Amino acid sequence: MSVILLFELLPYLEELFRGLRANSGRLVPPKARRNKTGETTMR
Amino acid sequence: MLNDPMVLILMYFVMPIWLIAGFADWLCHRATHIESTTGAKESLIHLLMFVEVGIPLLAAMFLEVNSLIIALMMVVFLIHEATAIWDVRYATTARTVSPVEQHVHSFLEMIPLMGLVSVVSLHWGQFLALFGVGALRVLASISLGSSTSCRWATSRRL
Repeated sequence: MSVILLFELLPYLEELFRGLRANSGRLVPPKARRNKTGETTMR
Repeated sequence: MLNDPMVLILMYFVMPIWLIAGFADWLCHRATHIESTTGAKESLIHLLMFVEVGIPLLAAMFLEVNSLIIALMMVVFLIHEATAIWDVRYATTARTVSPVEQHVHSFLEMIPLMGLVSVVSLHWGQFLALFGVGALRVLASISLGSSTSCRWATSRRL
């Protein structure tokens, strides 16, 4: 259970807080360039 | 139950691969500056998927696996797949999803299915009972598990 929390939960919580802090609490960055779905996928 | 190869495969092969793939996906997010592209929304979608994997995982570890639990696992797997599609659809609007990350995603999508199939093979009678075949009756109660895998998980936790 500890390993699951360490490798699966904590990294994504850190990512969530990093995202919120970078965008003043907004879920979606306002300046991000939006494309159609799949346009940024590299093949 | 620890003598069963399927239990050993679940605990020492499937679980570690899931952990490694999850961590690798986080590294991919970090490398593509998720905070300035898709932001916290994508992180929330990932946390939702963590919960969707966590529910059947905890059920398998701590509850007596019967038809009800297997049905729950199947439904949650389908919800997890739908969430994964939503995640990638959203991610590809603003963030570069590299071939490496796509490969990592393939693991993250299929590992829950591997887990589900493994649990089904361990409780084949209850799986068949779901469809009205086999010798066993459908058991639809929720009770704490008494299996070795549960005791193992509890003792390791303590």
